[in-house]
Amino acid sequence: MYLWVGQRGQWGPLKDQPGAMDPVAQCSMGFVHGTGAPVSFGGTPTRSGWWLCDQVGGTFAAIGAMAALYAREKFLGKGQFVECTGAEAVIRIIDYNWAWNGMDGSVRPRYGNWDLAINIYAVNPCADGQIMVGGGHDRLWFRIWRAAGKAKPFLEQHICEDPKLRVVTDRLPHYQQVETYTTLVEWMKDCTRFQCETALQEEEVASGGVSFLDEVCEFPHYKYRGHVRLLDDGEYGQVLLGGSSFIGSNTPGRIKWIGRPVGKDNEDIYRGLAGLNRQELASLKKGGVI
Amino acid sequence: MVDKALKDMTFEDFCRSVFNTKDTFHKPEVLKGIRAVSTTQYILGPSCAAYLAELGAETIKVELPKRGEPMRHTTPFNEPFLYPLSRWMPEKGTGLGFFGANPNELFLSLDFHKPEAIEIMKRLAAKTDVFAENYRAGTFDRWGIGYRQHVQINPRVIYQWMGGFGGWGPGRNRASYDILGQAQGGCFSITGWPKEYGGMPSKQTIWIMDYWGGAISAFNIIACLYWRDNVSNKGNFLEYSQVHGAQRHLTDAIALYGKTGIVAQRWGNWDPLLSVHGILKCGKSSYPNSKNPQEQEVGFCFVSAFKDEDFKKLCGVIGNAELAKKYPTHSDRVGSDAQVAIYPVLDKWAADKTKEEVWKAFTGAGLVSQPVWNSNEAAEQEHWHLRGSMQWLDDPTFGDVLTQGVAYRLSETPGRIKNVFKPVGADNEYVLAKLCGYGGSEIAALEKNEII
Repeated sequence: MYLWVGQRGQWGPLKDQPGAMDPVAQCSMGFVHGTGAPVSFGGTPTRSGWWLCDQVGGTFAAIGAMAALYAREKFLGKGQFVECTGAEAVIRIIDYNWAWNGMDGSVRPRYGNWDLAINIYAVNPCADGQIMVGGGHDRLWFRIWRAAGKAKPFLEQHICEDPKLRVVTDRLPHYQQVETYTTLVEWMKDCTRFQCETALQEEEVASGGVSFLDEVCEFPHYKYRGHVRLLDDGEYGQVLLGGSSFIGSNTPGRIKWIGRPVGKDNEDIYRGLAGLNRQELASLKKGGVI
Repeated sequence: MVDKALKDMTFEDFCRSVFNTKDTFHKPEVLKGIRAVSTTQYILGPSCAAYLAELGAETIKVELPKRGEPMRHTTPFNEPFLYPLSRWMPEKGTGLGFFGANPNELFLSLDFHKPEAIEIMKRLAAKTDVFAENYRAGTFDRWGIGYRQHVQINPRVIYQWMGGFGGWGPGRNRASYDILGQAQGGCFSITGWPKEYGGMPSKQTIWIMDYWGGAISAFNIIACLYWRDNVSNKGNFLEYSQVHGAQRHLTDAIALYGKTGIVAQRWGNWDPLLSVHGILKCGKSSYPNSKNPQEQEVGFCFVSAFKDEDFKKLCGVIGNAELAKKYPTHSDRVGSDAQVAIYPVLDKWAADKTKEEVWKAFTGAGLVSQPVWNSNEAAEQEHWHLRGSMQWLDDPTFGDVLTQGVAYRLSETPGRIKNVFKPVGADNEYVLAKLCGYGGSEIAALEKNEII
């Protein structure tokens, strides 16, 4: 299996210039344009704070390589050429953007931390940061307002008695989202993330504060499950890292080391696979080849 | 031995020939003969099953009768767009939220709350290679159709559970959605502009933790199929937590915190590790006369010039030799003070230009640059259509639709999109007759009793 990965591709009219990196992919397929707040909320197109296209592209590249390996063993009897790019991986998963565009030329707009297709399903401010609350369908909708109503009954009343918000579908227009979230924040602004979370989870509503990295690293559930774990690396000592997300009863993924110094395994590889001897190795080293 | 015709081709032509999308349907499918049952809803679980279906697995999507799964009713401004919802409800439609996560599948409707449905599930379980579900952890076990029961009748099954916080551990009972995975996983907090620039932690607009978690799960499933068929003849019980996926890839920020206690923060459209490597605001709209407010907006363009020689070229383009002299090396440029000083100079230069003009100027000087395209501009690129990552599909149910293709190219066994999805219960008769041994009158009775 020969695998090539890149940002936009190694062939085609937009093939990669040398040196292209993750943001090229993010910008070239609508992700950056669609992320961030609308202009009316003071927002601009926004890139992901992490190397989103690299990460997602890498995952799909691994699927492609694994599929090729499976095909080789199962029926094909030979390898193949696999190509995967960061942009195309995110094109694959960018929701309904293409379908919508294809129907009537719609350009999916930025909608900040809210969602065009679900109300309530958003991140909004609270006393010590921001919190996510989700529940578009009636079962959860009324539970959310019950949670808010425990502290401020008039808010629950305000929403639940509004005939224009009675039906799920009526809640989606922009002005109704503004109405909903303004009311919700009226409750949340005086509560911390933890207080909001506790109140909402009593009603079994999906909710959770926006966690900063230190909070993620110290969260007991993540430590217990090994999402975040300390690795005693042979080269680099104690390193905190995200553990393998492949959890399986028979074949769990595992991280054995985080990386090794350049050329650490030269001896093994050149002697074991290429059959070089000590003199040949020494001369390659001297010539700066390895 | 490479034959001569192949050897004389340019690399571009070679790629165009081995990855030619016109040949896709003449090539074999990787997962032909593999069956997957997907009792999933929203995006995380369905997308996992969809990636298997793209590779040719016979994937049976099980959803509740009548309304189907909730994602069918999730759509911008609640416009259903794709009709019919089912043969029983031709006046209702499916929303766009369902798009992208359910291609190529067979659609079975089944109400799990009825005992007859459990019997059907058991018959399906006996004949499936992959079983994917994303109900609350332990629910299927309680209903008698979880991994423990599956493995008794089908020891080769690969059972994939997907969810928010995982099936065990102190926080296991918490419900989750994509955006919660983003918020609690940590990636939300590092996206967006800093407070000083009017920004706040920001969502990645797409349902990234769902779609991408599905991909991680699909990878694990194919790896387990490989292990089962070539090594062990055994199945596997797999679990994926979507917050875990976030943490796995934030590992550099986690390592930074572990070593130094520094908490990574937002840095807007710039890059904390490389400078210049950011997105500039171009003051002129590319479509000032468009009626679409999305298009009236000013443009943005990415440029990368973190190497010293590239930064010099960049300063040449904007006609500011001072800047090159002031920040000669990368360590001079990468600090936050330097970035805060450099980017406004670049933005100022771009203030009277469109993103295309900026792009042209940068690429003309040999710099890596890319305008920020909206979804319409991206959809118009011949590049994506030629490569098959985007395509107009003549869908058997819905007619012409613009859809995403498979994310990656395989020269010998490419994945493919056959249809974008089907109405609720579209394949009830086929699945129940083929796999469960029900006759026509039995199926009619199941339908009458609202079991399917």
